Amino acid sequence: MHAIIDTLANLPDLVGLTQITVLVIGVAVGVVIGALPGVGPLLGTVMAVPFTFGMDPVSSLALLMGIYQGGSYGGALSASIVGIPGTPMAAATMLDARPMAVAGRASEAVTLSTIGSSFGGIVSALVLIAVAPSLATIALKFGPAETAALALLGLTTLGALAGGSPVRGWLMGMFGLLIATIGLDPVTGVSRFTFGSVYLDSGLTLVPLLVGLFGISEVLIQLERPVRAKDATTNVAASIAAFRSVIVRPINYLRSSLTGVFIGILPGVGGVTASFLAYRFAMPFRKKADPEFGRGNPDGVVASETANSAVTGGALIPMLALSIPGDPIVAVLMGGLMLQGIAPGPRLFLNHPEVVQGVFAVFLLGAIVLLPIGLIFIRAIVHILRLPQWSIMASVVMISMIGTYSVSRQILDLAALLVFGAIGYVLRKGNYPLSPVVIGFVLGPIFEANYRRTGLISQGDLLGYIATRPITMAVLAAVVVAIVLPLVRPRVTKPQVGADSAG
Amino acid sequence: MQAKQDFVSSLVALALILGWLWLTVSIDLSFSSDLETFSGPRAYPRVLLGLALVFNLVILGRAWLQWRAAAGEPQDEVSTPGRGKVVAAAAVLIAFVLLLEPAGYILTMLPLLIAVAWLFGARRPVIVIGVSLLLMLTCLVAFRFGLNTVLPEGIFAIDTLV
Repeated sequence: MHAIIDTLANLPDLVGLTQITVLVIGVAVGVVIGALPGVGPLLGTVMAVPFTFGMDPVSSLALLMGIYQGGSYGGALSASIVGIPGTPMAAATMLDARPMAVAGRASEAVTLSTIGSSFGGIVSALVLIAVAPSLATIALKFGPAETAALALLGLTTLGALAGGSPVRGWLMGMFGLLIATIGLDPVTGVSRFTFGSVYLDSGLTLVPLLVGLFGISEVLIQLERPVRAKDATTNVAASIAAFRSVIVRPINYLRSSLTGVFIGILPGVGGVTASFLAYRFAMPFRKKADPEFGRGNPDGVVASETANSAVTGGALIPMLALSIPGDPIVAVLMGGLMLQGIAPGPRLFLNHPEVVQGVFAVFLLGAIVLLPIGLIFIRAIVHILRLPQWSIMASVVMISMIGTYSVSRQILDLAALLVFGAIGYVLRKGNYPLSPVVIGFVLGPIFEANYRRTGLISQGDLLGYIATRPITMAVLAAVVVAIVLPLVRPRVTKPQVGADSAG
Repeated sequence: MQAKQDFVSSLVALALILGWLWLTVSIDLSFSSDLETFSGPRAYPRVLLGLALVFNLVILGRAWLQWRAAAGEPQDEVSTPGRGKVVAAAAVLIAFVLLLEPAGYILTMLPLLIAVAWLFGARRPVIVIGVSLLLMLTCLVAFRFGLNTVLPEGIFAIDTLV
């Protein structure tokens, strides 16, 4: 608490007009980049690093973190409007934001995303300020066993995201897990299902899968049955409804924020896990007046967006305190700091307390600034909704193709994009949900690598080893509850999710 | 009709799962064979495929029962009026991918955008071409100067021109 008050009191000294200006530019650029499928905040932060050479440390971080925060939110815009998650983290947001948009509540969906992102970022910033060094030690307690158990907990969402048929969700999850095995085995390095292809040896990447499954398939589905987002409400009405949600659904905002912060602290777990877990945790608490999850439930949008923004602050904790970047974007932020001659790690708090406070302040301000910037973008989106469908779809195709190509400039990425597009189209025609494929693909490598490392460490006595790990046992207990609870309480509060619909 | 489609799709999925299982035989264990427990490089995908098989059989069984139950009822024919457009779009996208690097971004993106616009019902050529040109150039400038990403030059590459 003392640290929070200190930081707030010193805000004017820590952050001047230059830093605020750079931060606003960073957030705005980040939102645009995040909204473009296939591009993403990672590319944005990497591109921005050269611009930071001549800046002071706090301005440099303001630009990079602004893009990070804006980009984490921006994916929700394309997820709502065109049914393509701009970032992987927005895949969970899309489950409800898209149906809301199709039902004429596009402004409300996007406003909810904006508020959730801002709220998650603010809570995350406050946690970061208050307890960064202490929380960093939690990251050290998470070994392969704990990470594997947490990935397994994330996988329990597979059945819950499949509408009326959890079995279809589990089947699609297995499909995602299997696709993730294509490439080199993470422990032994042997090739699996590569057919001798050098491209497949490095495994399939998330961008072609995500953009293909959701983006290209959406275009194909729309050719058969055009569905578009619309806005039947006024901006003001939508904004009022969305802002009221903070009062009506405070527990969801807080729970999702804390879920995001906690997941963010753990290196290698990521925003996708946080957003789907938060979504899953929100499901048993559906309000009677709300639609089912997956059919435009505001809580679904709130949970996912709040969590994936809260991850950003959590991810900074191990980076600042332990010099451990939890994901590629944080690695770029770390690089940005090191370019300024500042080495993250335990001594950072002693040697450069002003930089640490500056980082805290910029991060908090970034989360606050995200709200008005996001609301400005909503006005632009309302205009986009009025454009002819053909122009929107042509833009989607263009950005999907070029965004995917720009990741590593390999034409085979585009081939993979089309293959996944065809697969997504076929699955959607067969009423199979797509989100579990993404969850399986993202969590599969995390689960497999850590599970098998645990097996190696335990030297054959897996159960005995796990019995000595209290955190693992606690997470596994949660896994059992997550699997068993829906089976024993099928009629009381059955969390129903509509079939995966991006249109 | 939906039950029949589910049954057929489950059969196709069954074939894919069995085919994939067969492919696991080709995973070379070599030095790692002593690490092959139920979590090894070959065993892990087999466990996943086994689970997928179980789930698919459940879906297959349910679809079979539903199909049998609906056997005596009049079946609605499922019409797919846009199927031709889907095939055309797929052909256009494949052509784009094949020609992007040899022909370049400009020569491939413009026809792609025009084709997509046409498939989505745009019928005013001047507007379609104008908007497509604008989108293509905006993307080119944004990626080249904003994100420092060079898009394929194709036949406009300097060494080709010279």
